[in-house]
Amino acid sequence: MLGSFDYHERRDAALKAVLDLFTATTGLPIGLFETPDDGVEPIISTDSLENFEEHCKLIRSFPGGNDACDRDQCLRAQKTFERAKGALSCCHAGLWNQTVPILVEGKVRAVLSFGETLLEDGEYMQKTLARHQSAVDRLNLSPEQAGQLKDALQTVKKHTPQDISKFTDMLAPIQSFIFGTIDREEEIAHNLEKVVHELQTRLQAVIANSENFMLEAPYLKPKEIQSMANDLLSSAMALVVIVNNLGDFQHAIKFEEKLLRPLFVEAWRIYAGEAKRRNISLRLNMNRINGQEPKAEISHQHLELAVNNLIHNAIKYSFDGSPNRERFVEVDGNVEGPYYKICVSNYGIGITPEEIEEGKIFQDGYQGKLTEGEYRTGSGKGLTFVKRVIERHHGEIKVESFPKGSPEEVGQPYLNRFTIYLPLHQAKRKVSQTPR
Amino acid sequence: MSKKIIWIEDDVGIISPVVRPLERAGHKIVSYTTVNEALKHMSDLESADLLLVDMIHPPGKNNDLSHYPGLDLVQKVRNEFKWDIPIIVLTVVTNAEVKKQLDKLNIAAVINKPVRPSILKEEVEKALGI
Repeated sequence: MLGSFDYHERRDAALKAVLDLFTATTGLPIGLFETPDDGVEPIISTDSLENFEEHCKLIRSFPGGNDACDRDQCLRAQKTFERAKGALSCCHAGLWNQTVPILVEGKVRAVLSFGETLLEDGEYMQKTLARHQSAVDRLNLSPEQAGQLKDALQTVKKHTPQDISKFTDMLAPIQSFIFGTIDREEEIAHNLEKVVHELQTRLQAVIANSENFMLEAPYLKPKEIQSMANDLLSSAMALVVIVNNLGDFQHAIKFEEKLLRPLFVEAWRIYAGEAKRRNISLRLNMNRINGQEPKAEISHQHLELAVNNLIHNAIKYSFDGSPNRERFVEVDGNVEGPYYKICVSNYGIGITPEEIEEGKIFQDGYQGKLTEGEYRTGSGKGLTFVKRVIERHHGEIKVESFPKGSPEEVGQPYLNRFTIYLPLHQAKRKVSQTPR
Repeated sequence: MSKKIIWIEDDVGIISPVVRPLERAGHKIVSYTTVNEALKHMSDLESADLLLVDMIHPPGKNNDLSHYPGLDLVQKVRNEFKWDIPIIVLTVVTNAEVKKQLDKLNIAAVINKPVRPSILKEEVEKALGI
């Protein structure tokens, strides 16, 4: 973690400060509930006992009272999580509490619960008294204890439902803002961590190749020198790809007619070492246009990096080949109307239909669900960059992923296909014509 | 004197040149890209002279230590298998909590990437006592 910064600690401190301010201002105790996977529990709260009503302190002091109160709070918070809607509800002992869902981008991140109050309205008081009696019976309180509790009930603060509504309106946006802000900061830091990881890995390759070359060069034959120099260049070029993915590529777009095949040949050369170590080969089949090598008006530097990313992804997410099972990355190119259609396919870790339909796979920093557990280093920036480049070429990129083999198969393989529609000409492109 | 080194590294496809001097010195490097894969080859692990382990940064945002498979493996080797085998950690992970845990596990060296291959060779041979 960068600088060992704990976002949860920082977020909790910010949330607690707001909760403390609420209690100091209104006199009402308040708790915040987050839901871990296995159930609802209060994570932070100003529920230090001195903020509780005497009534609540008393009931918690009776045998079974504390558990009953905690259970009751958690159940009410759970209902708010499920419905994503707040509610004014009566606790098991007759006091009224408001639950408020904290929503960030439509999802319930936590629930606030505040109150321990009586409501000044006949109907509410009726319910209070009924629940109160029920708690007395359930906890099996002695007449003396029941008397003490009834007396304490008389001292509980009173509010109107309108007061509670005002407090809610004040609280919810502040808490949502805090959660949302810290969530975003955490995501940025996490993405940065992934980028640093990827950079350091590529730097490691450059340093290793450089030193090996330096130490061995005096003893190498010319072909060996060339091979090691090539490895060094490839590892440096792979680093260039990562660095360029990070920002908006600063070089200006400049279209000129260029051959397309060399882009893929060069991209493969950069990652050839990795592909070879994993027994993955390239099948390149780019059909000619009117008998000529395929060309298009492209911004060469941009498209070169986009192709490098595509080929790198295809290799990275392929399953390893073996002597008995060939694995390959296939690149097919054909003219289709005013476009040159290029398909980059691989056989390996798949992409879910939701990720494709919702465009998540092209989102900055996104890592595919099916890559989790596979531990393949990546910053999640490559495909974002590719999409941006293709769109700047007025083209389109589509992705498909077809499961192969049995669903029960561990690490089920997928046939993945990225299809690019690249306009052959930029100046003469008709606005009305769009790829299928 | 040739030694057998088990290397657990998810990016071995990218950074394998870092062990080239070790290979040229005659040591045998057996690599696994995941801890699970390594644990399926217990005979390899048992017969190794040294373990070279990447912490393997987990996906997701959770900084729960249990999500660093490399740390899991080292803890297993020391606490469950009770092996005395020299272990070197070679990683980009700089999580302070992970480091704290590693300090309790009798690690010969913790090396942060990127590292020069010659330095790695020195540290490995020092840990092996050669």
